[in-house]
Amino acid sequence: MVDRVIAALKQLRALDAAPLSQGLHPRNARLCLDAALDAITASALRAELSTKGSRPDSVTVVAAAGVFTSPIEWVAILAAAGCRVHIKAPTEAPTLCLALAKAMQAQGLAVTADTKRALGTPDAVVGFGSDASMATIRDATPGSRHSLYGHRFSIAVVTCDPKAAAQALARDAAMYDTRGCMAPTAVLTTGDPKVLAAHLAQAMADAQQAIPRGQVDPALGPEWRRRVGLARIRGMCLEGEGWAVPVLDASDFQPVALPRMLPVHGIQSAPEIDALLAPWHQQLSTCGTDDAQLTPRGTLRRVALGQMQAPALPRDHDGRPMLGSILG
Amino acid sequence: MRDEIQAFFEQGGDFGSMALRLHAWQRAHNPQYDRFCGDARPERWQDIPAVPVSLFRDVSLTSFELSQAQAVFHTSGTTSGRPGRIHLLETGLYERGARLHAERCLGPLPTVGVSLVSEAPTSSLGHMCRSFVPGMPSFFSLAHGVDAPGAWQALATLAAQGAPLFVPCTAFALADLLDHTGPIVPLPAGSIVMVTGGFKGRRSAVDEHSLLHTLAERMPGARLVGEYGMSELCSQLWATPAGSAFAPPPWMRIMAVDPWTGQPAATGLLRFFDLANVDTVLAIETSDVGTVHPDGRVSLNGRLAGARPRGCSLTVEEAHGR
Repeated sequence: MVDRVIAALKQLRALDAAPLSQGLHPRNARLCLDAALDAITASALRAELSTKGSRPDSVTVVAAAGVFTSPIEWVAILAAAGCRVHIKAPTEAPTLCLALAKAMQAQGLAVTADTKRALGTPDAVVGFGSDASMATIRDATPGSRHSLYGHRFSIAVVTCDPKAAAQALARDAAMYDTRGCMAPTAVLTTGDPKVLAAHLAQAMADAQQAIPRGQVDPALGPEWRRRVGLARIRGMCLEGEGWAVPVLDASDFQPVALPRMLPVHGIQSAPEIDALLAPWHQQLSTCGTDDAQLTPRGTLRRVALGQMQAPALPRDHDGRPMLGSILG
Repeated sequence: MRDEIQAFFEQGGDFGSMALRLHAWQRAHNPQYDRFCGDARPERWQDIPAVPVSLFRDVSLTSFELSQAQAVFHTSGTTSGRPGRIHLLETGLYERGARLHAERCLGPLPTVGVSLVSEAPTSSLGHMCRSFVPGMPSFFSLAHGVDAPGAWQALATLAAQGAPLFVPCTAFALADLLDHTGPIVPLPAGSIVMVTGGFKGRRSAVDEHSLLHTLAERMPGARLVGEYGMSELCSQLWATPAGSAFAPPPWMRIMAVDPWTGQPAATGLLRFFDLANVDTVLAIETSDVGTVHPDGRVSLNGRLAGARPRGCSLTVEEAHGR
């Protein structure tokens, strides 16, 4: 099974990534697809499959719009585990899911995909989306095992070498155009925020040059202008074509990412970080940092800067083992 | 500057040059707005940097010392976010402009009425309605919603006296009023039922056409007009009859823009340029989408997709949610 999954992923990699990517620039789409597929190796799959437990026969994966590659690793693991997999594709962006199913089918794997809302009666459901959507899925599939993942956010914490940190963070912000729960919503720094912001501005401009920002949700425009305006009023804002780096007091932190906007907030200590994030510590996904001592309470995944948007496999997803979360 | 705007209200003038003068004055007297504008040096009113309404949740953006504010209006906000605050140095200009344009659109305003809008001193809508008809009884509260029996009783009593009535209400308050089984109350000639806040909301959608039909049955003689306003704007727009395009006053211009780029668009996010906003910022970017017609009137197409529900009608909705 593992070899057939790897062959299917090779077929997926050969496709033009841009149409699959939900509006990313073609170079960003390629970068993200390659990064996602690079992580799914035969040895990684075998390591994941070593998890003991009773495997479900049928699994429905409810994919969410946003990070177009997110269903790939789950479907790969489940197909390699011998499960019959159905992907409920996001209605507004089904292309990747349909292509993934087609590639798997070409290798004789039992993977299907459509956008129909009916979930049927699978043995297990893996779902991504809003908390309300997850509750709806749970209610609609009372007899299934569930591995459901609501909305979360991520942050970066920088303590030293602002230039190196900026280059790594610009990559984290550029990948997927800052979409998804692993994208940095903001950077907290114990150093001089303005110095880090200056390095970030250069790195963000370079990233824009190398992998330009793609389509953005027009509805984010007013919020973009609000944050830029607030930073101009209360702090400072470095801006360029396709990116912005607002520098604001930590009290203006918001756990919501905007496409290629990376706010910088000065912070002094771990307790201060915990206090700042306390209202949202249950929603914290990833912390990218150069100092593990400053990892906020509630962090489910700590990685080096530059690795926030490139999750390794195998791993715990939001604190839970991936295949293990649906084993009996 | 206030006197110049007052004169513009009374005598008119060149909007573009007045807007640029007010913009320069606001940058000189409103340091927060000056920083917001950055390097912008507009040469046309269309290029004056517009403040997103949500920014008023974070900063006051006034051109005077806050301690001198005579009135503070709260934005209608959202159920999940904190409301913004709009500070006014004094309300005379606001009231003068509101009455001038209302009378231009509606004719003479009635001197008695029944209110179904908030009486809270922080409600700009309530303030406007009280300035139109001082002492008007209100049958709405945030805590209890619409007191429909009381409102119908008051309508019947006042209508029997023969003077035209002013009945301001949000769309949801009107729906609540008409939901209540009660008498048919013919309104005296010249009566005005003002509906504001749109027919949008979270609890339920109000069917505008059935509402108007029911209104005609239950309050024959009522003239239904639409009002569009918000705390962030000191001027209002009127739709006569309700459902038609909204007419701005001569001291206001509207521009539709692409929500992301801010570039002009046939239909798009609405930016208002309101000379009556002397105390805050004349250029305001709303979360409403619409089309600006060649004559300057605007048709509303609802909220920007993805933006949070917001509007006067939600005050009643929030009451229902408690």
